[in-house]
Amino acid sequence: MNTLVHSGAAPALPGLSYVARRAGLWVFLGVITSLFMLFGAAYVMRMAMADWQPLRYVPWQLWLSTALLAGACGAWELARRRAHQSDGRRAGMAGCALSLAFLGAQWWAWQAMIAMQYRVDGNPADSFFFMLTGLHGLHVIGGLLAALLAGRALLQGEAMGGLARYRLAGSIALCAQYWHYLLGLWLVLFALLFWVTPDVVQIVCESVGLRTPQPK
Amino acid sequence: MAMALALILIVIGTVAFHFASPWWLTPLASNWQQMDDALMLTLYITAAIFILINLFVAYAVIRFRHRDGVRASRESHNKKLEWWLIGITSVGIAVMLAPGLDVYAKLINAPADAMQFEVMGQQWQWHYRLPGRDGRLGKTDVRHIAPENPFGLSEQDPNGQDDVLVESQEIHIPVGRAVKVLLRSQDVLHDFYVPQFRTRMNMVPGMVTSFWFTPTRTGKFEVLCAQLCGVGHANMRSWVIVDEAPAYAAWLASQPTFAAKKAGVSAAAGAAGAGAGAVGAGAGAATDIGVQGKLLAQARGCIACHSIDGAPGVGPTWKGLYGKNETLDNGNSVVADDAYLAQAIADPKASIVKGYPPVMPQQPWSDAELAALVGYIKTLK
Amino acid sequence: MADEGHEHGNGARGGHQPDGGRGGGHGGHGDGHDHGPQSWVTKYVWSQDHKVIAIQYTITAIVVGLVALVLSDLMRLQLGYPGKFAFIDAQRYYQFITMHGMIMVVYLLTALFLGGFGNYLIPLMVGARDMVFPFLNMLSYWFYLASVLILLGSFFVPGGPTGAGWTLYPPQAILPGTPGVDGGIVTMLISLVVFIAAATMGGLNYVTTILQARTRGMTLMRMPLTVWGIFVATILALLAFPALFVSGVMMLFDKTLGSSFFMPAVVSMGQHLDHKGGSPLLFQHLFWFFGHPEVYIVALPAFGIISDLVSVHARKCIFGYRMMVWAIVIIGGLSFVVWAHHMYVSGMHPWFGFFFATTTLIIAVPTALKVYNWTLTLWRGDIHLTVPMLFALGFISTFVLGGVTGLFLGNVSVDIPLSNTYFVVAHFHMVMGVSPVLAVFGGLYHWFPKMSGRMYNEALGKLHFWVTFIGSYAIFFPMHYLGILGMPRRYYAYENYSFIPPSAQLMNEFITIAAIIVGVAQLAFVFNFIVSTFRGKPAGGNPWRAASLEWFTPQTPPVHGNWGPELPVVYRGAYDYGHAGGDTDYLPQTTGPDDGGGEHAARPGLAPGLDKGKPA
Repeated sequence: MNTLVHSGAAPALPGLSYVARRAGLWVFLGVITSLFMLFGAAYVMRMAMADWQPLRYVPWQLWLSTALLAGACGAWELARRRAHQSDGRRAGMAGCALSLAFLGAQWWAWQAMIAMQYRVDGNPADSFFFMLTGLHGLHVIGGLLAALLAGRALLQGEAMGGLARYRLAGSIALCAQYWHYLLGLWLVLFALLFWVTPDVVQIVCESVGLRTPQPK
Repeated sequence: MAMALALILIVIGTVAFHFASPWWLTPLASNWQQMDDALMLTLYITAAIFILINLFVAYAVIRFRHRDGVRASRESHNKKLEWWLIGITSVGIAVMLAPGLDVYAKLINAPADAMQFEVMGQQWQWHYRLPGRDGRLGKTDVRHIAPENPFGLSEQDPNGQDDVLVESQEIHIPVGRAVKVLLRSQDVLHDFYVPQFRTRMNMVPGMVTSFWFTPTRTGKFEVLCAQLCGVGHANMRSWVIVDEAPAYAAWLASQPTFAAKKAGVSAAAGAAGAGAGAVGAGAGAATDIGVQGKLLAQARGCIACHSIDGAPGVGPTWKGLYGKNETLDNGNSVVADDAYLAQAIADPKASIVKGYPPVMPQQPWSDAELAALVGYIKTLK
Repeated sequence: MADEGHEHGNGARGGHQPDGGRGGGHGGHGDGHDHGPQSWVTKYVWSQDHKVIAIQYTITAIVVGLVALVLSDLMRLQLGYPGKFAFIDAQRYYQFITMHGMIMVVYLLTALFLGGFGNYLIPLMVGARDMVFPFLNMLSYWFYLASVLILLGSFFVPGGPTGAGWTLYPPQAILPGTPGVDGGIVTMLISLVVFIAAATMGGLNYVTTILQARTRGMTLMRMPLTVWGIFVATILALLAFPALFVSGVMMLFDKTLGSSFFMPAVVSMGQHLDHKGGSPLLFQHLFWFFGHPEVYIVALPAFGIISDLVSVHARKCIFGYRMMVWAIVIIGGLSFVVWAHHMYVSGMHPWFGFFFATTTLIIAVPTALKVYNWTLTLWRGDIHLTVPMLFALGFISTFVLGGVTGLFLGNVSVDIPLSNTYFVVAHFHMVMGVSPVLAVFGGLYHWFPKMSGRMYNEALGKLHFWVTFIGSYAIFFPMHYLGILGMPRRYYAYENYSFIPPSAQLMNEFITIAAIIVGVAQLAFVFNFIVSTFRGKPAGGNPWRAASLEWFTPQTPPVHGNWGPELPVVYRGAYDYGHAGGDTDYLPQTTGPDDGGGEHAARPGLAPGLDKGKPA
């Protein structure tokens, strides 16, 4: 006889389970990591060409935007710790607002670069700057859309049942994880664009044997 | 049962095909016999695998076909057998890989005393350059490339003055001497492929790539472009002619140098309707205007896009073109007379024939050259 | 006694009963439970049920695949009868090759294996009610459809579709001289970006479902190899498609914004362009970092499906299940370090040739092991030559041919004269176009009764198989020899080459005729499936007497929620065949440990009392 056991303990709908949603998020973070690692590889390979001119000008707006993103991250972390309470949800909204401000600061930084004659069709380092910051920004926008979708019941002022609140708490935790990732990614991109120079690449490649030592 | 039979017939058929096939490696014309040997070794091993596995499956299908009352075995694995198979396969792989890597190591190291020539690819023709008496190729830069300077040779570099710039789509090389081919491109990827030489390489804009070989017999060998380079890809044709030493020396002596060409061009620009000098020093003493035009058409790559026998191509065919009523892309109709043809050659963007892409490159033409080309087109009825 | 599961044997198309209890809802909107009777549009168009989405993917992929098939026949008409068809000029020829290649590789094979087979089979084979993110799953289909429409839209933009070859190499892809430089290339790149979004959404589902939603007792090492193949292929897709995305975005920038990621300083058609300093080789590295795993994204699900087909129809446990799983995983991992074997003559640093030739030939070892294990499964089996089995056997034969010609091309110095010739075309068609397509057909015929509750027409199926199998050999085997001769690929015509004998043109004609016959024969398949869906003989819940879980749904076709009020529990692997004695020769995965003997599929050594290796 077949024995079909009543699977009472597990939820009938795995999609609701926080564990499953978190697994999905981590897989997605793996994809984004792959994407930006490949861009980074392209960047480093391009740097090897003789005509490379590194970015020397760091618009101050980028420091502002970094601070704003860090603030957003902090807000989301707060939200995660208080995910089941109302001030947790408010912290989440603050996180969204700070992220919008981050995007605004990035746009401002773009304007500053263009004003200093660093343009997307200029030298390759400039092109990479616009492309990488633009794609990062797109991922922030994606996160904002997801947060909006998750919290729309809240925004519409509907009364939320227990299950919906539980689910929202899970969403807040996932948003927090995503935002931590975005901050880490931004810091890596910032460092890559402004502090990784052909010399740094040469030192790293020499130390792992990828390149022969060059006479200085 | 039909399946087993089919597999057996496939084995027989493919083996028979192999022996009956008239399509096989072109006769080798270079020193890379070892590459052919590596290919043959791979062929023997892979053919054996193909035959064995197909016959094994055929046998299994016959022997273990469903019969009432008989059930499959319960066996599910056999670690020892699997590891043996992995081992044998690895040995087979190593046996194929080792000779391949060995000849590769030789392929990538050109001998120090190899002579050189440079191929510059362009959509859709070839240009050849040799170092000249000083044995050094002059510096080039893309910025200098112009119709009268297809190699982009720098005027400043004295090494370039004596570079030999081959006039036509044919390059000669001496038999028995190692040659390193330097490859450049001015627009897109191309590939200099002569099947009989076996080795070849892509031509990449912004880079100089190379390969080397030693031609082992004389003959005329076709050059094919082997990297998709646009609509004219299949028509980008040229020849390598391997000569005995005296013939090679004679050919080399008849080719113009960069300095000579510059002088020839400025003379043509000054004189109106100049004669043989403007048509190109290497075109020989032919005075028949049709022949001059034909040589020009080959040298400047016109035949890459315009056929002379009516076959459709990237551009309109020249057969029967003279005097024909052509429809332009703006709907107007025009008669292809001398004036129209001269303008169409000298200023391709001025008018486009309906149904054809606007991709004809602009090149500089002296009046004499235009007359020769139009004269040639007139002969193609 | 082994119970064949709850067979509701009338096999009529099980309608969608509104499920009482917890089976019905799918949580997509957060309201959780069953949603009562749905409108036709909600049930069949905007469905979040993985089975409906799978069928949507399959139909779309097959339709666009038929378009690509027609394009290939047009190409063959030009090659077989050069110049005879005035509307196939050089421009159109290159546009046809490009669209044919891109559709077949990405929009047909990838979408069909992952979105079609993956969506349908994964929840059923692992005992889940649906994918874990059903709303995202539905979105992934609509993004896929959008990407297909955008791609086909490139036929209607000014200048037509791009003719740059499916590999889209710069600089020529975005320079005049290549068709489609006005709008076609941009449309193509946008379509690819949308497809990658779709593939990512789908991929998240497949991976998370396999990791999180397996039913009780379904350990990873009890999953059928079809699931393993699709699982690893999905991981490859998630990590490799970003490389295509990166190269596509950078090329879009170069084309539309004038950047110079890939564009060096060039003189194009007499004009000096503004680009400077870009590297065409950078594109190739990025593209092939995607492109090589892509072929394994197609091959690994095919491998998995073939394992299941051979096992079920030879009534025998797949030989060496554990090694087969390892082989899939190792092939997947190695597929990321072989990419530059597509670049041996690209002008890259020569030393890379040593590395990539070695890794490429190493990857042949686990692949060969899989071939051996399929043949060893047949050995001492009980082989039923059903249509799925025929296709599986055809796969083995054609895959061996395609695989061994890969050994020529992987070995760097043997590759050099063969690169960009018809040898390469023959190789990749055999190993990507013929064998995985035979696996697709085998799988479609095999699971057709599950999906529809009916059986296909056997005679038509056999006709389809024989014409396709023999025809594919006729088309592609001789092609290898044209490549060895030195005939380059991507040539519009071959005129007056002294080294090409006139017989080669005859061969081209022969290949064209064979290709058209094979193309037309696919109609037999389309007709068979459409008619059998409505008028086929009822097949029952498990016509193949297969042991894996998907055959044991309470209804056939399975309804929304798949399993009824209670999820199944699994006690053994999916390949428990070959039982002597009794009515049946197999035990379903849900058979308890006391009901038929211990599990033997995954562990070395058998439970006591069961013979090892003795013929029944």
